[in-house]
Amino acid sequence: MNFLVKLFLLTFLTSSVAWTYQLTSELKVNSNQELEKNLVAQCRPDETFCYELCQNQNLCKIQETFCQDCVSQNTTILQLVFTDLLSVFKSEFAVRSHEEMLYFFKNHKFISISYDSILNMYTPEKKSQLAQQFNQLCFLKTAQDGLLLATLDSENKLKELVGVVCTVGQKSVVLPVKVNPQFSRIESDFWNQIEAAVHQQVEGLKLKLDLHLK
Amino acid sequence: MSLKYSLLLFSLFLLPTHLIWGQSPNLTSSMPNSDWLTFSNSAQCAADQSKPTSSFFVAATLRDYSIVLSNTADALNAPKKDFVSLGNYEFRKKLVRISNAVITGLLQKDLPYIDKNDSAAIKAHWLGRKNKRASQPLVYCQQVNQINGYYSNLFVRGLQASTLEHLARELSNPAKSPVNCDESNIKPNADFYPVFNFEIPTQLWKSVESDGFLFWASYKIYLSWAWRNDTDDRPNVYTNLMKTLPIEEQVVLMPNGCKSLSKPECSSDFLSSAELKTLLSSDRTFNELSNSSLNMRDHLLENNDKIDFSIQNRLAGEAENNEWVRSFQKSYLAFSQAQQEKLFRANKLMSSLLSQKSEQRFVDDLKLSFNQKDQTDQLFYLCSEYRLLSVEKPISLFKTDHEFLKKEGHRLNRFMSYGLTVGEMIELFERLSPQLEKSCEDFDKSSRPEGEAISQLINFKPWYQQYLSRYKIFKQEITQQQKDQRAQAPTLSQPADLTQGYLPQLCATVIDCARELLEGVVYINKSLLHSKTLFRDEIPLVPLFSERSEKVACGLYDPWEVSKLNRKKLITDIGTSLLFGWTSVPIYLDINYKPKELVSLNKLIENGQIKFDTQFKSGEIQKTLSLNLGSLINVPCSVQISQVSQNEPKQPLIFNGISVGVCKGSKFSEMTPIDKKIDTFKKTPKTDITACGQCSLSFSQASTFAHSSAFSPIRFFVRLAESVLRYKKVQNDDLLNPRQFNINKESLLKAYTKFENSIPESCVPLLTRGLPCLGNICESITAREFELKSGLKVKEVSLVPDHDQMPDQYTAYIKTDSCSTEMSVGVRCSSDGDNYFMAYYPRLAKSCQKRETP
Repeated sequence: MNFLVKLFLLTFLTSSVAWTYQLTSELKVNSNQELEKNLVAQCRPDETFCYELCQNQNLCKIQETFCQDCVSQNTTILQLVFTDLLSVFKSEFAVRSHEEMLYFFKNHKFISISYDSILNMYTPEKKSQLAQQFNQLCFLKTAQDGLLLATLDSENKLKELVGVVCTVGQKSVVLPVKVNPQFSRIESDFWNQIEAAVHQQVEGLKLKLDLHLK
Repeated sequence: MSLKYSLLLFSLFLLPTHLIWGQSPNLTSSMPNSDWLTFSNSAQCAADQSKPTSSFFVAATLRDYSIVLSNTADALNAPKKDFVSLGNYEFRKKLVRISNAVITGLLQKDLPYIDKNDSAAIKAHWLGRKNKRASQPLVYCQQVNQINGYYSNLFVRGLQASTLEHLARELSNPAKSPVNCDESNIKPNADFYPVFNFEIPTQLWKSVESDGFLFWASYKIYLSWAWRNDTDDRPNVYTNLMKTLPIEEQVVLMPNGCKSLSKPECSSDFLSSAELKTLLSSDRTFNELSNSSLNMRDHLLENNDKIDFSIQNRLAGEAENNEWVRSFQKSYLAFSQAQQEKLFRANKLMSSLLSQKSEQRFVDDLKLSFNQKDQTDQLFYLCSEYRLLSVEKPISLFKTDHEFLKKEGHRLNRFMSYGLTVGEMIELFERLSPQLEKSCEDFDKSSRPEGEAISQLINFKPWYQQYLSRYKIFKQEITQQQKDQRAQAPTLSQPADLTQGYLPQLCATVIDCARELLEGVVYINKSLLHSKTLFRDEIPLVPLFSERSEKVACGLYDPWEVSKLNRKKLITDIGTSLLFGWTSVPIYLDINYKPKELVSLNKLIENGQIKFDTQFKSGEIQKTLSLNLGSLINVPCSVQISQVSQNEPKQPLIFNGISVGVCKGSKFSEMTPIDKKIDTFKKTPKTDITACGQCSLSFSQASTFAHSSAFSPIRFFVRLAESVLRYKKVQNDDLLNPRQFNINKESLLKAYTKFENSIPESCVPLLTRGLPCLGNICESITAREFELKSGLKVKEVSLVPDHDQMPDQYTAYIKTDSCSTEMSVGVRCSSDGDNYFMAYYPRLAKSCQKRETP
């Protein structure tokens, strides 16, 4: 698929009313005087995403964990993101479904990384270039800025860069991010696993429903 | 509060080029030994290195943290200057609080010693402390940034009158009193490089000294753990930000003085620290260290963001003498960063090569390019560079390093989360190697260019140029060529279309890629050598102030002193050798040589008994040798051949270094020359004086040389450099003996007052022997002896010779502070003070008639 087609499709997808939510990042000092970082999901009244996520119709805040020791030589992910994003990573044009994202947010510790992330001690002066690169992962030329999603392990250390949130207007979609095959042939099966898990969940539900009906 | 002096002094009053070490006891009445300042010369200092220190510096680097703070202030729309200052303040407070808690806990045996990072056990120990909120820490802590004068002594070159004067001035100036680390004394500011000095009081230290190294190892482990897990601080806006940066990368521990924080061991890590020390020297430019963006980051923080420009300026003004620690920390960061960037670059190249082309395709393409006539020059450079890394030949300079890489390379894997592993990278190199070997061999026979290409040294990759630069002759040429190039009017070429290269964005042609790959292998090797010190997963200990630690540890120390210039050169040599990681000189001895008589290296060369690696032109090597070894090349030496294998008598012998016999004084020396395998140390005991200068040229059989477990290229090169330097300074055997100098603080201050706020030269030899500064050495000794014996304070001494026939015999007339009468006592004292006797009798003190107190 060439770039234009993708651009068109993405714009189409994000403007379709099938399922819409908007994901943004929020940083604030909370009432305990602690720094707090949230991923904020906003949904239209006729949407179920937020309700399914947090039992609130319009708005959910997912509190992000601050990653342990991630601004470090020992963790290359952030460094790569801010210094060499596109040669190491590549997004795939395979929009993750509503169910998959619900599963992700409910079952994974993660951080979101914006182009102007506070954790960028590597190239804080290159915000505009970074914004462009983030958008490139979204196959977008102009848009609200892409937001990367990276998972954390049980010790809150950065584990894997898994996706990018792309937002046009009021609507966001999440695309998977993988290692650029030009760089390495290592393949991540992160989203396959989520897909399988969701599938299992759905099957489970079906089974339950069947039992119930019987 | 205690004060601590620690002096690194590069010259002694007698010998201006000599190194002296000092570490003073404490100066307040709360501490024992408070009247004395103790200095050691370098030999003593080296001997002290195997002992654990009771005082150390914690130097923090808050620059990265400050960038994160600055970004956060932006995101929160908070006033940046205040936000950064307060964030730094919280960091410093936490560091002091946890350090105090850990050290106090260890001293009170409330925390047991630990030697490994077992999180569960540490947690149990930490939560199980009985005195969780000890009201008073048992350790003394000072903020070094605010007491520059006191520690500036570390960097004063020379224990001369001026040094002592400086010291006296600091001691007598109450305004210069250091500021302790009480919470109320820690102020919010944006100092990116704060330093703290922690010191355990002597009495307390005595009880833990025998386990001193374990004590510090435990401190490190507890600090790492508690930094992340301790919850004593009330959470604040900075708590979460501090989590994101590992403490291990924010602080460096340095012993205050000669003693150590960890047991000195001989390893490449120690040499890393040797290189770290060179970061302190101003000759190393940032360019040499890195082409990294870190410079710019400092710039960015300090200028563009205007966070605290004024504060920085003010601090810089106040902390003039503390600049050392800043520049060290900056270089340290830049250096670590540069290493990591190079490692990643190598990884990216090799990973992309395998991803974008198959290995077979690359090999085929490379083969094809060897047939292209227009690539001759490029092939010449490729093959020259390859040859240095070749592991195919029986004698390989790279062999040891290659084995080191294979064995230890995995340590680097966690710094490369996405591409090939180090093992895979090395295997790739190994698989490509035979192909290159063969192609280059054919290339040499058929189409190797002469003249033109060779003369363009700057076309070699930087690592190869650096290797060549070890030979002075090449160094000069390279420097000249670089100059010429710069002098030419710059021609702006059209930007190359890197997207069209053999590997887009990485290398233009297949030959280019092969050369980049070789360079990558060099950088992996170098990164590995530095990994423990520069890639930090535990808090690094840097014996920054003990110049010889690594040499002592590696058995290379001998107390031979060298001039400042030579020392610098040695350090540079070690630094350079580390840039490559291998260090042999390609010179071989004809196996038929029969060692009979003294010869010079020059003679051996002239007689054709010295051979050179065929890949090097012998004429060039000869030039190089004579430039490198200078006058040494003609010195008559015996030839020593070690490690000859009975099985392979025909193996060539490789040059192993020149050494000069070491000799040392018998009286004070505690040093024994080590490693007789390489060196012939000739000891000629002759009372206090020793004869030196026996020279030997040493060779080892090449095969055993390369395989011998005792051989380490690092060790070898240090030995070579040391040997050369040693020879240049054979004159003065006074320097050989470990010595300690005790200066009485009171005597120092008395002299300072007596001579109207100055210390005259004549006082220096007296004060450094722990004596008061009186008219001459005999008077001074008399005063000290009398004070020791009588317990009275001496005010004045005059010596009157007893008899012309007995020149050393005097009557001493002594005035004291507390007696109204003058006392007299018989004294024998040789003019150098060595032979001294006082005819003291206890009745003498009793004869004192108490002066009436006003």
